[in-house]
Amino acid sequence: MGRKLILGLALGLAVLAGGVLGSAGAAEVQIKGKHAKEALACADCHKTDKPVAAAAVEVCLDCHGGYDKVAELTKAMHANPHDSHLGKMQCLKCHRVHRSSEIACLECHSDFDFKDK
Amino acid sequence: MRKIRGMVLTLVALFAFAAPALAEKEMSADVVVVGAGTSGLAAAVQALQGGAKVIVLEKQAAVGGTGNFCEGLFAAESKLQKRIGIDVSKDFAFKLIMNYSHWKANGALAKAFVDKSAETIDWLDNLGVKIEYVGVGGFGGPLTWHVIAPGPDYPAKNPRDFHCQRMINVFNQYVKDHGGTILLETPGTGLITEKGKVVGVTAKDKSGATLRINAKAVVIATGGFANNKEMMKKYVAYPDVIPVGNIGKDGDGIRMAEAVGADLEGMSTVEAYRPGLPGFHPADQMIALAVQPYFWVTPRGERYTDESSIEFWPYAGNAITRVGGTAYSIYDDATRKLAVEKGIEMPLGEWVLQGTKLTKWEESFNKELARKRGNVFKADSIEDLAKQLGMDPKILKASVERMNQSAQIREDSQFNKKSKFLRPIATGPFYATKLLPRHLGTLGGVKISGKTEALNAHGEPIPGLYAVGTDSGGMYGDSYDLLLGGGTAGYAVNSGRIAAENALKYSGIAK
Repeated sequence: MGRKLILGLALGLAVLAGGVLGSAGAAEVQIKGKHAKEALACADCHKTDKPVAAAAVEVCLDCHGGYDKVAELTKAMHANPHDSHLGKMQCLKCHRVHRSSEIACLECHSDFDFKDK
Repeated sequence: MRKIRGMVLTLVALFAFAAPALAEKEMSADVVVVGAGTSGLAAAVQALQGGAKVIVLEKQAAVGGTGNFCEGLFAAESKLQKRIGIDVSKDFAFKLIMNYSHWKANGALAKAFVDKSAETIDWLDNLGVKIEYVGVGGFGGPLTWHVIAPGPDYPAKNPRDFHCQRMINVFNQYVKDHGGTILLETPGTGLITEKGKVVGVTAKDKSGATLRINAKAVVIATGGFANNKEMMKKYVAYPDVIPVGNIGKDGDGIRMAEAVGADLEGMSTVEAYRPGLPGFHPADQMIALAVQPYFWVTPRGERYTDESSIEFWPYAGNAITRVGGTAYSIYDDATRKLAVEKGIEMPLGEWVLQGTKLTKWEESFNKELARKRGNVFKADSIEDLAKQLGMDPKILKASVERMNQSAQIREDSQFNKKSKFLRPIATGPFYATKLLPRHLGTLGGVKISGKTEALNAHGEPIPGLYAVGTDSGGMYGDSYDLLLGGGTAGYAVNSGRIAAENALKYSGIAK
């Protein structure tokens, strides 16, 4: 009796857990910007086929070679957005994948001519 | 048995996987500092020097807060002032602060700050933060502004190792080298209390997990609420005043303290800055010419102030908010030429020195003109300028004529401005730049004692809780003073130190 009860409970929880996790993310979402041409699947960034939350920033840094490498790419700009007084910000603070990006610097520096690609 | 254990482990794993929000990490320290800006880091360094175990929480991805931008700090009777022969006594400074505030400020706090300020310069010196020179707050005022010299890494290894940023770099390194912990991207979310005493802080780390940090004392140092639109609307008469400084000053610390019964003080006062436009660098030359004290008018086209009062920013800030918060600075081509070829008359602090030739004015002005954002205008006649500005040309012309008369007889019959700043508006083209109120941060916050202890509505200290820098109120009346240069930066460092010293006494770590 004991074993069956525990098995039943475990299965019940599994169903619950699966339900909670699976319900939110199944809808089709578009990839915007440069990532659209990379033939990426949900799991490539979200590490799951049914994501419910934003991908971890570590995933961005993995593909893009780390923060310092990204800072190198933009160092010729008038002000390097990847080496600023705001520090090493979370990529997703500016670069959005499923909607248009925002540029944090412009909140104060309206005279910067930045465009997120 | 193995099967059951396996089931149980699966259950546990499922729970853990399905409910990540339940994950809570626990830490402990003697002193937790919420906010790694100027006041927070000063408190952290002082606490470490006193032998405490310190954890600092910082919401942004970098330390420093607005300490990344200021230049120097206030002191009275410092060794440097004595050496140069600058006579600004502690008594003079204390009376100036209190009288300017009409005694709305906290006398015990102002005295504690002023009396400690000279020793703090020595303290900084011992830490490797050197002073380059002692200057003024408002142009021509008393010399109290101890401007911080570049560090050894400037400019080659670290082009940001000068002014207050140098001090932040030194503090940051000190905390790391002496066993302190700084958690970036980890905002404090609440205070933990036990029987009316503050015994810790809850926070949220990068991954979203909750942190529970047990502590003997907590120092709130999150920099005020300049970026919190809701709080600005609630407390400040002109809430749209443009914030100049770091981001993320959302009033976190003030609200955390309020939630455990702390009283608030001075919430309506902001650190008025020169009027200007949002988003321009403090050294922008288009702005530099626009804030020269010549001829400023309301949207109706009427002059409203002695423009040279901008040397004490709050005078200009109060005058412009009084007329609705928008003004236009208008000058002619002769004035433009003077500024570009001979140099400006009134300096903008360390950013654009007196006599600087505004060779970059043209690029900046034309770039903004092309953006057509309604910030700058250019016309060949006053009539045309008035039309562009939406003013009745008769009114603007009358104002211009009055100024031209004043310039000729060398007397300002409207606002008694010094004659040297009376310039005609006669040679086209004519330029107009919109001016809007700006500020460097809020100046009200938690009501504190002279020891920076947070007080409740009965004036009783809340055990274990301290508030410093612009998270605390009590240094000002209804307006920022600027009279003693480096006042807010100096208060940040000194209040941080005072909090740490008292927190250590309170928690028994120091005598």
